[in-house]
Amino acid sequence: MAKPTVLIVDDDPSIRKLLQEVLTLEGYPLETAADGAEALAALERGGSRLVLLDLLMPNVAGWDVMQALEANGTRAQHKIIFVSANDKLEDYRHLTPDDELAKPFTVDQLINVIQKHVA
Amino acid sequence: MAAHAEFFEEALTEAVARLRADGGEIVTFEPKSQALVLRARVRGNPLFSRGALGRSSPSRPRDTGLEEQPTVVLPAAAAMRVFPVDAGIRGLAYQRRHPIVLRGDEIELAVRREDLPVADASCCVGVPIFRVSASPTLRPEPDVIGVLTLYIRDPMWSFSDADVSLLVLHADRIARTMLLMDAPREHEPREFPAELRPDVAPNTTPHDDSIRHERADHEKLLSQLSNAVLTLNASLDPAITARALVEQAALFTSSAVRMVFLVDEEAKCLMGVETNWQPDGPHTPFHDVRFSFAWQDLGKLREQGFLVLRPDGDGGTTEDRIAAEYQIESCLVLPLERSERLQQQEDTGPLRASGPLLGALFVYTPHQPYRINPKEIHHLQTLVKSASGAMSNAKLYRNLHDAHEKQKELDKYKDDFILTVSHEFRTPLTAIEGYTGLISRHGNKLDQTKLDAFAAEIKLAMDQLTGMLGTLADVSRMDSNALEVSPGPINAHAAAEKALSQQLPEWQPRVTIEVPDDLWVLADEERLPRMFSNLIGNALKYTDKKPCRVTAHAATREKLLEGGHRLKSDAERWAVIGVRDYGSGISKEDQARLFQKFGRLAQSRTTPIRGTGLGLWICRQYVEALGGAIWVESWIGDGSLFEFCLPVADPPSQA
Repeated sequence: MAKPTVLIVDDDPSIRKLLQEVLTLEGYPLETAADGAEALAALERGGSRLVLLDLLMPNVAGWDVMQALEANGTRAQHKIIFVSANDKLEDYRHLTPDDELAKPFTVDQLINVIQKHVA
Repeated sequence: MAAHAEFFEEALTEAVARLRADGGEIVTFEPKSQALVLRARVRGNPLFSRGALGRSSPSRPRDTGLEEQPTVVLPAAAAMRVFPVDAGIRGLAYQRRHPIVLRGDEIELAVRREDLPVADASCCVGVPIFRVSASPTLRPEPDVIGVLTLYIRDPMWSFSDADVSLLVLHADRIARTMLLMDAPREHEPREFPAELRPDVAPNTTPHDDSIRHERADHEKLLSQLSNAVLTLNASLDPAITARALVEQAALFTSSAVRMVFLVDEEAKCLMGVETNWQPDGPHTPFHDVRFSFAWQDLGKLREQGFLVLRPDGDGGTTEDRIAAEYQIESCLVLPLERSERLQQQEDTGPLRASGPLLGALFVYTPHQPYRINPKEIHHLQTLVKSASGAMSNAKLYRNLHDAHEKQKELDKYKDDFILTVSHEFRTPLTAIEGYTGLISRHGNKLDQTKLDAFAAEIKLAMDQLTGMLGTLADVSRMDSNALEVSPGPINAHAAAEKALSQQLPEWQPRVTIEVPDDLWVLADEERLPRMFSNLIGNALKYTDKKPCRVTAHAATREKLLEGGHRLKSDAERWAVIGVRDYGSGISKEDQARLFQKFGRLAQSRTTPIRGTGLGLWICRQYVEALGGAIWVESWIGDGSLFEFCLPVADPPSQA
């Protein structure tokens, strides 16, 4: 079965780079975005993606992306995984990601959580 | 005797009702001449009186919706007891001639328990009552004619300074009333003449007329005084209390006095509110005034309890300066002192104190010699005494309030700081965790180039963590003022390059370093790169258009001082190093906060920019420790220029 495209959204280049290295080695097609605005632009191009979404970002933050997707009705097309610090995740319980991953995470945790949502 | 007893009963009831402490008290009042003692029980708020009088007050229904008012229960005359005047707290107050407050263990130290009529008192106060002469002079020789003593049994309560001030005022009132009652034969202890009892119908002798007249005057004065006390104690804001004092003081002076001032201790000069009050003219509203008056010139005030300034005309003294500026020929200054000093001061008169001044009432008349009658001075002294308590409370409250608010704010920042720091640590930790995980998972299929790249990433993350730990250690040293720098010649270009190399490789091309290779500054080997790191990191964080620039130029000491920068180092030759970004710029308001601790956090948390909010504060601490200064210029929409200056150093001699 073909692997879905993973969209990496994180304002920190070192985290983007790490995720790219891991997922390239796992054979996933990749896109990256440095903030929420870039992420939304990528998602508007159509198709469904698995989104690794950092919550705390300047300008358009992760939760803004979630709200925008829910507002335009395309939320269900994508699998969304929050990637952030534990203490921050608890503040956004009202948003409903498909899964969440707390920093710092291990490579195994990252791969497991992605495989869980690759049908 | 009966009239006295009635009066004392009334006076006691009122004294007790005015006290802020509404716990269980036993009150005695004892004029020396008659050795009469009245005891009263005060039942107040059941919360506080429980246990105080050996019984609780559970019988009162809780659901009446009414607040229980303090009540005073005076026993029948038969229950009165007579105590010797030299016993306990009353004896102390007699001897020392100023209010005495004893609390807890102090009671044991100062008096014998068996000398107290209330053996289990937890706090007691004795306020001497001074004889008031019918023609008061500026400083009447204090003659103690009685002592107002109060005891509290409830260890939860103590007499406050305000309570004591009220009692002092009340003692004065009692003395005045006694003066009236004793008027015909002032110095003999005797039965009170029946025809002069207050409830006796007026008769027509001229002598009695004048007494009645004087009594009416006194009653008016007393009600004025109690109003003044209420007004003074109404607020816990020192500025409002000061204003109230000036206003009330104006009411107590008659024709001659035009203006009243307050001296502010903290400002070290005369400043305050001014009123131009005339009994039958318009009441000019307050306006703020300021005198250039050195506070130490009020030294005489502390010694004397009052001060009358008269310029000697040679132009050299403060008095002369004020006189010339404000056309004052002389003036009266009355000090406001912390009331506890009044109690601690021993072996001196009742009004003397050498403690810190809370301020002073300043009374003068422009364009004419100062003229105010002794009676008015006496009234003003009484008023100022009450104001001292009110002002003392207000200042204490303000200090406590300020300290509390500051602590709350600091606590919040510290919480935020810990949260942010722990968040900052997660990124490098994630990188280390991730790359080591990759190596163990795919180790066999990774080529050497990849392995080297991963090792470099791990090293970078480790460097970041090490840098953060160093900064944290410095922050803690700055908090305890233990930051030590070891200045030596440092190559500024190399330091900037080192800081840049610690940034992410893909970010590095976005910074150009234009610092000359041969620029050496007097700095700290570890801290200068850390400063660059903070400034460059900030610039990269907030800018994404043009590359940031790190620049340098020379400046003289004179030029920097002209620019308003404070330099701790005496060096003549300076280098000004700048980091210019092309971000959105910083508003003037935010600029002021930038270099404060947690400056950025104080702005808002809606734009989640990462960082501790300490970077610029840390830079400032570093550069100031090195004798230099740091500042910012900013243009909205076109970015900011952060500049700092350090002394230029000679290059180290070739080894």
